[in-house]
Amino acid sequence: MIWQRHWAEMRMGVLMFAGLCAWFGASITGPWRSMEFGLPLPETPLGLAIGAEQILIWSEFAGRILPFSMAATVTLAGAGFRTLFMPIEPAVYTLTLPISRSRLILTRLAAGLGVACAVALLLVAGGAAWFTMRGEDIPLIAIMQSLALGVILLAAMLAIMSAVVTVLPAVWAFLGFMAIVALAIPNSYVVSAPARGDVPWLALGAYVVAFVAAVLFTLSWVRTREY
Amino acid sequence: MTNHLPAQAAAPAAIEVRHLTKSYGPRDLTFTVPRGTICGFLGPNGAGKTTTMRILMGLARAGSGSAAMLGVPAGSTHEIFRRVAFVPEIKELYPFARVSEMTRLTRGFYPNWDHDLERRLLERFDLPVRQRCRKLSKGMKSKLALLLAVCRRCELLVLDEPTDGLDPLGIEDTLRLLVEQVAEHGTTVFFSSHQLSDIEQIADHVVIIRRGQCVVEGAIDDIRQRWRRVRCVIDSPDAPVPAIAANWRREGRFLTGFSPHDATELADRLAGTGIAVMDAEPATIKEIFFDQVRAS
Repeated sequence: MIWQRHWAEMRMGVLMFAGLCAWFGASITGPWRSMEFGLPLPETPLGLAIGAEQILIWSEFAGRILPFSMAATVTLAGAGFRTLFMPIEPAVYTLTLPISRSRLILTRLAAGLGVACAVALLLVAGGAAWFTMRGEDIPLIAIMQSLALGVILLAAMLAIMSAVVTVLPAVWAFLGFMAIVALAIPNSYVVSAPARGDVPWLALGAYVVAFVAAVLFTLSWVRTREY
Repeated sequence: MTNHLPAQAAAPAAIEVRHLTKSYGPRDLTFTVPRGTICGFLGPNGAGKTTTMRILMGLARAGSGSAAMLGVPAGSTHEIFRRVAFVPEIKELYPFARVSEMTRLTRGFYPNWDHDLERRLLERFDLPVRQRCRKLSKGMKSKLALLLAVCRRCELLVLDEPTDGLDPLGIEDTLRLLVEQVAEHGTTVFFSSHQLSDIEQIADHVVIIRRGQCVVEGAIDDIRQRWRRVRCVIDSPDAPVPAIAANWRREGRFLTGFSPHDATELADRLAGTGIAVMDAEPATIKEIFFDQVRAS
């Protein structure tokens, strides 16, 4: 029921997201220097452990996490009140259903994140099949580590963009884009952590704090706003 | 049409509004809607009808005073929406959802959903189930919003201009549907409308507000019995008009207006003022509404 509601709201965004993902899969290619952080990828601990060819395959996956996250954030953001593709008016209908506002916001965020994760897994499976057909081995563990870090980033980006589209009219949504770009800057650093062999606790902590703050802000906003 | 649920006689009123005030809309508004009635909510544009309904639904906050539905304070819990259905003034639904999807997703929230009624109403309203909501006409949106509210089998229906955008046939269908809900299920219906004929046709209770305040409230039969269209004659053309007739129209020695008192009571009140009642005919709701709305 609540998931059907979210699907009805997200459908247009999901279609656009799928289109963007198809384009990413085909068009965006390496060499992913943005992930090197001073040390060429083959010379990183992961590069030395799995070899230059393998780490370049890893970077083909990890390097797409940033554009993927940005596309997911813009197309799937929403807290159950408004999206970039749906006006605010149907919120009155939503708010007179027997759902609490906190449940509405959290399930809607979960729906956006769930769709993004499902599509990410599909893309990884597709990519893995592509490399396997070409006779390449896939560094699956390192890829999954980067994806797990990417999920934390994406959750924060979605929560912030959702807060922005809930609070601001669509014409001001560029402020949301700016927030997303600001959040995207450390994205490559975080998802490339498996190559460096460290865990960026500070950045991850900041993303978790940003997620919680964005959710709490959205909740307090929708509780005080009049419809 | 009186209360259809005698067992609920001791239960709280369907709607209870006490001294409700907001910076715009209601100003010290007080009224009660008994259970099992169809209550028309009347008032000119800007009187505060929609704001009052939004406060009841928890979509807006009151400045002061209180509002409760079925004994539950407005805005205190979302659980009330298992017992109350609302059709807002702007009947916008999810633009990309089809009609069939809207019914399916709403149905999931309501265990008492009336599938048979849903099927019958889809047919009766001629709703295109494959059509997306954004492509529906205003009238079709009104019909779909009403279907989604009625099929929940709630105890209370709050409808803000439910017949807005409907053709005469649609209006007739809608009004009949509301009467059926009360007759068959004891549902309380509280609806606003600018169509006085709608109110006169189906309501058994009425609340008229002006500038945020309640000016007439009660059972329609009682109001019709009480209110009189009055014509009086004054002994002297220069005689002062008492407060009771302050808003009446004066032409020479004749005074005409509306009074909330029956003929005997009115004669008693006018005794000694030099004014004699000539006619005191029963007034219609429409006449009372215009009289009250025009009164300054």
